Parts: sequence; structure tokens; C-alpha cells
Amino acid sequence: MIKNFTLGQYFNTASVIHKLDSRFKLVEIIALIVFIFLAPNFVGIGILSAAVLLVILLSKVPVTMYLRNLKPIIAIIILTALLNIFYVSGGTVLFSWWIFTVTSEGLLKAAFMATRIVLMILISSVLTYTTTPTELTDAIESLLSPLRFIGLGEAVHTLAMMMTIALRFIPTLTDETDKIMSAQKARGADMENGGIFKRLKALMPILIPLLFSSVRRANELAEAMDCRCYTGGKGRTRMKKLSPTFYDFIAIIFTVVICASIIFLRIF
Amino acid sequence: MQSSFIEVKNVTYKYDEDVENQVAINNVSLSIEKGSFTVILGHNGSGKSTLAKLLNGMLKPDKGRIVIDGLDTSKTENEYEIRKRLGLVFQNPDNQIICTIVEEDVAFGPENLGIEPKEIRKRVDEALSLVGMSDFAKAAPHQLSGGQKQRVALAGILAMEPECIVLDEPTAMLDPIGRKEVINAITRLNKEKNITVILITHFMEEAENADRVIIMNKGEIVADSEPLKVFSMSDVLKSSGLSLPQTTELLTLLKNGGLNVNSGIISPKGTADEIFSVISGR
Amino acid sequence: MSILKTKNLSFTYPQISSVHHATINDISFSLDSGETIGIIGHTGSGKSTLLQTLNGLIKPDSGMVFLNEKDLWENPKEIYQKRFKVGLVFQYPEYQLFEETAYKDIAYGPKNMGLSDEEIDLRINEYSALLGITEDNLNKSPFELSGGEKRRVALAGILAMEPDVLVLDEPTAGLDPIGRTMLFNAIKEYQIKTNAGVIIVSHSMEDLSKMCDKLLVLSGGEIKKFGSVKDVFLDSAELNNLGLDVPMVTRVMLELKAKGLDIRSDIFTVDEAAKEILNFFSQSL
Repeated sequence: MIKNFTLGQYFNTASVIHKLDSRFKLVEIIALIVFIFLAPNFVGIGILSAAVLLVILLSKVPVTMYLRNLKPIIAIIILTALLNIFYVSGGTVLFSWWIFTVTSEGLLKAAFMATRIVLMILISSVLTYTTTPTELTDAIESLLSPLRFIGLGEAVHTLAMMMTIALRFIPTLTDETDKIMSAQKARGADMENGGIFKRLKALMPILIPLLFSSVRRANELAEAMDCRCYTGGKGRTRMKKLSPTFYDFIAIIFTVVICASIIFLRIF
Repeated sequence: MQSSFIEVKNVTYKYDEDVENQVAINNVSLSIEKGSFTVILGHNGSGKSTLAKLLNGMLKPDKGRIVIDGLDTSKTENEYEIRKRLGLVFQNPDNQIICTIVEEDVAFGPENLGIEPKEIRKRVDEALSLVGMSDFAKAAPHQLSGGQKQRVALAGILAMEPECIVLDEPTAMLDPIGRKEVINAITRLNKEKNITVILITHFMEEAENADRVIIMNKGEIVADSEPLKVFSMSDVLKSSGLSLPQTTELLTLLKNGGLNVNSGIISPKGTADEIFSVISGR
Repeated sequence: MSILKTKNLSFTYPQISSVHHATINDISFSLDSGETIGIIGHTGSGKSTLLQTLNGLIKPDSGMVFLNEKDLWENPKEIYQKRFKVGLVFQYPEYQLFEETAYKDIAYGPKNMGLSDEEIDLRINEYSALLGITEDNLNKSPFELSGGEKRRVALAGILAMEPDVLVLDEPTAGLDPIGRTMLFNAIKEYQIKTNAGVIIVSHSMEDLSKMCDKLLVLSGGEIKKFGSVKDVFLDSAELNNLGLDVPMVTRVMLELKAKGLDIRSDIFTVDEAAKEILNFFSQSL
């Protein structure tokens, strides 16, 4: 069943993090992710962990929600940790068996890598929990807008429009897929049993109606957009202007300080 | 003579691949006054939806001329101006909402017109309140019912501040509650905002509050008058493939049975009043 | 004999993601063969959820469905076979058509049943004739047909499975009067021929009063009323409370009665109403 599909993970608590200008938020979070990977040692990771923890608390989104996002990648974290434990040599040998040797250096490296991944997941969760898909689309459109100087303005607008329409229709199409699936099951379609080939064949009665209806929707949507005087990005205004506030000012300084401290640690 | 907002003169239109070799619109002439509420009734395939697309220039007449507020629809350069003046609402509410948040979708039209952000905000709030959807400004379209979505689509057209709104079977896919919501919103726009409304439908009940009812069949206009008169023409209604509401049907039977009633009434209350006055007034 | 019966049926979606997925609670009713039950209720009343429990598309959280006195979920592996016995026609079924020709599309269900080609051919001919689908249209792609024709092809696809129970979710939505009459006649004819039980969901009280023996009023996922058409419509106050209406003629009769006329108000069809009023008129002369 795909009924429970929800789009994005926006979790509205109206916190200061939610209020940040999505353009700056996007850039700041990307910067933090980059610097998580640039952090040279545990001091750096410590600073970043503190920063991420602070942002999480400020977002007012329940911590359990963040932990939930870690679940799917536990395997990756463990694998990364194991690789580091066994393949990093140096330091004191703590344990040795057959071809495996665990060293203190290996253990430290494993913890270091695992923390990096966890931090990265947590900070990107902050972005998805506190920013609506629409705000993200607007941020991307705005950040890419300098491309208009090399004649790509219309392309950027089209990309953003496509993202918007895709976001708008994903729930509609999921719902429709579900309906068509039920309708074909009512005619005896069996999609759960049989080999791969049989299952692929059983998909046709769902894909074909879905394709036809999507084409019909696309046509009707194009007509509706025409009727609302859509002629592309040229001459278009926006109701909501993204505008930075005092909080953004603080957020920028915060990010710059964190990043600068990592650079400092790398150099000295 | 007062100049009308819409002038349709001897218009004929034929779809290219029409297998049945039938003309969709056959020599139709019609004029619509500013501020009026016109209902166009017809069964599926009567040509009524084709007429809607002809009115805003999406289709161009093969023969004849359509002039909207002095602008000829056959001229491509008029397209933009015509769409600003005449908004079109379609049947499927899902396929005309473009954005992921209600208020942003309502803003879509004005944004295309290049209107100032502050003014857009004002128009969006006003349009949403006119259709009774202010509480849902921040909702996502897929969380709404059919009637609510259709009212958002209506608000989206409204925010462009057109002089005329054409609605092509806006209630065909809605349940009774949704139908009522949409019809009430449309009626209010006409009465309070003096917007010219052309409502295309196959539900006779929805024509009750109209100033004028036009019946189309096989691409032609077969009746054109005030509701009471048109609805008493039960033969024309039936031969046009329309389903008569039980009330009209009852009144027609009573008339044939010798009671001198007007058979053009639709509301149950009006019907009862009519029967009562005939029975007791004797 | 009861052909389909539910006992204390309840179902809640694991996570309500939109208004369209309503729960049902403690639903018990029974349908005899040859009988027609109409279901009335608003969007979100649980109608579609209930319909999908009847043919096993949804497995109820608690409660049971009996088909021919046997538990529908007796052997979960055989649930596919059960769906041929309870034919479910979804709302706007024309959107499920997918084959190259209308003929092949109607054959999809019967083929899944494992019927022989001859038997399938026989059934397709029979039910396309019943629904007025021409030979010419049978060989066309379903996507070339008109809306009303598509609807009939979709219905033929279910009838050709010859279900014991036919369940229809707003079968006439969007059809014009001619298409509507045609569809209802076909359903009636099928019922007479096979003695099938029929369940129809509709918003049209007028259509329901014409087609059904009994009515079931659903609201908030629960049965608010279940009885003969007359019993249900007579309690117009209760229906109004739920935001539902009685047929238009019934409302006219109730109005007349309220005006002091000594007239019957348990009338749901136009012909009966006309007879009653003309009668009243001639008597009071």
C-alpha cells in the first residue's frame, strides 16, 4: 500500500529555524555539511556536534523525529565503522584474531567517521523538517537566478516550475495509482505472486491507465495555465518576496564562526 | 442599443478529427450583457464545452466572429487581453491547481500579469474570502475535498479580476455538498461583485437563480429565455437529452392532468407553493 | 437466502493521510440474492472503505464478511477467487481500461478467472449486447470511445465475470439521462437473469428510490439507518440532521402537508405523487 506516503517531512513548530529565509538556510546547511567533512579532528567534530545540537533544540522538532531519520542508515554507519575498525592500523593493538586486528587508532577513526555521518543526517533533517518543498524550490530558483546573466534565466524558471508541478502532483498520482491498482485487483489482477516476469506483466494494467491519465492531466493543466495568462518567467512577479530578517543575520554569523573555527583547526 | 460584453455572430466550429463528421458548433449567434448570469444547458456532446473554449480564444471559429469586450478572438495578439477579461474554470478541479499551497496557487494568475506583490496579497486574500476558503490559505490542495478545490480554482481566476467568468461543468465531478458550495460561491460573485457569469452545466437545478437559460443541442441553440419559461418547455428539454428534476416532471404531469400550474419551477418549496395556490385559489 | 452478510465490521487506515480514507465501525447488514441495497452517505462517510471490505480488497481489523454463508477470509490465499464472486465497479471505472481493444479489456477479468476462450467469447457477446456496445466499438481501442461508451465497457468487464454480488460506486456519475437509464436497465436485467444481489452507492435519492429495495445510511463510518426505502425516507428529519435529503417529490409532498393539505407524504416517485395530487384535487372538488 502506498496510501501512507507523505510528501516531504515538513514539521511545523513555527520556531526561529522555520522563520529563516530559505535561501540562506539552504546555503548555511550546505556549508555546515561541507565543514563536517573538512573537520580535521575530534575538537572540530565536537564544535560541530554542539552546533548541530543547538540548531536541533532551536527547531523545536521532537528529538525522536530526528532519531527516526537515523534508523534507515544504521547499517551504513555500522559498516563504515567496521571498515575503519579493521582496516586502520596504527596505535596500540587492542585485539587480534585471524586476519583482523583492532587498534586504538582504528577505534577512534571509526567513531570519528560514524559521528560525521550522523551529524550530516541530522543537519539535513533540520532542513527538511523546517522548510516546505515550496520554500526549497523558491530558494533554488533564487540561488540559481544569477544564471540569467548567461542567458539561462528562462531555463531556471522552467526548472523551478517543473519542480513545483511535480511536488503538486505526486500526492494526486499516488492516490490515482492506488485506485487503479484496487480496480484491477477487483478484476482478479494478482500483483503479489509469481516470478519477476509475471509481476512485470501484471503491472501493465496499472501503468497504461496511469500513463493515459497523466497525459490527460498534463494537457488540461497546460490549458488551465494558459487561461491564467502564463507565458513563462518573463514579466512575472511573485507574491511572496523572500526577505532576510534579524534571525538570518544571526544565523549567518553563527555559520561563519563555526566554519572559521574549522578552518583554524585545519591550519594550526 | 447597449453594447454587450460578449458578441457571438454566426459561429461554426468543427473538430478536425471528428469521426462522426458532426459540427461541434453550428451557426450560433448570441450576445451576453455585462453583469448577467447566464446558464448554458446541454447534454454531453451538445457543443457547450466547445463554446466555452471558443469564448476565450483557445479555439478559433471556422466561420463567424466572436468579440469579447471589443476584442476579436480570432486574432492571436488579442489572446492575452481576452484571458485577462474572461476567466475559464474547468470541470476537473485537480487539473487546474498548479501550486503546492492554496494561497500560492491563487496568486499564480496575478503573478503572471506582473502585478505588485502587495496588490497580489490583497487580491489573494479577497478572492479566498469571497469563495469562503480563507481558512485553507496555507493548506495543500490534495488535503481538500472536491468542492473546496473547485472553489480554490475559482479564486485563482477571481484574483485576476476578470469581468467575466465562464465555468465549464464545474460541478460535474462533485458530490451534492460540493455542488452547493460551488454554486453558492458563483451566485455570490455575480450578485455582490457584479461579475458576468456564464455557467455551463447539465444539471437543470443549477440554473434556478440565473437571469437567462440557453439550451444547446447538437451544436445549436434550441431555447434561450428566462428560467421559468425555458423550464416549462418540457418537450425541448427532453429532446435535448436533459434530465428533468422531479419537481418539473411532477408539474408537467399535473398540467397534463388538467391542473393549471406553471411547470417551469424547480425548487420543492416553489413547486409546493405553486400547487397549493392553484388548488386553493380555485 | 442471504448472499452477502457483514458482522461487526470495523476498519481503520493505519495512518489517515487524506480526507478520502475514512474508517468504518461496527457495520452489520445482510443482502439477499435478487435484492438491491442502496448506500447513502457523504464523501468521507466510509462508503468506499465499506465497499472494499466486501470483496476482500481490504481485510477488516475486526468483524466478518460472509459470502454465501461462508467466511470470506476463511482461506486468505483464495481471496483472489472471491473477488470474481463479488464484482466491484469503482467510481469512474473507465479510468481502469488499458487493453488494445474494448473486447480484450472486457476479457481481462474472465481471463484471470481461467475461463476458456470460447466461454469468454460467449460472455463478451452476451454482456456487450446487454449494455448496447456495438460490434464496431468492441474492436476499437477503449481510448477512442466516448465517456459513456467507456463506462459501459468497464461495467461489461465486471458483468462478464458473472459475480453473485454486484457492487457499484456511483455508477452513473457524469452520465446524461440516456446513458443513465441504459446503465440502470442493464443492471436490472443482469439481476433478473442471475438473481444476483446488488449494492449501489449514489447521491441521487431519486435514482435510489427507483432502483432499491432497501437503503443503508452511512455517516461517520457507522450505520445510522438500515431499512426499506419507505422506512428510511419517511424519517426525513433524521436524514436532514445528517445533511442528506429525501427525494425532491417527497419534499414537495411534505411541504403540501405542512400547508395543511390532508395528503400522503410517503411518496418517492413522480408518477405516484402526480396521482395523489390529482386524486386529492378531484376529491376536494
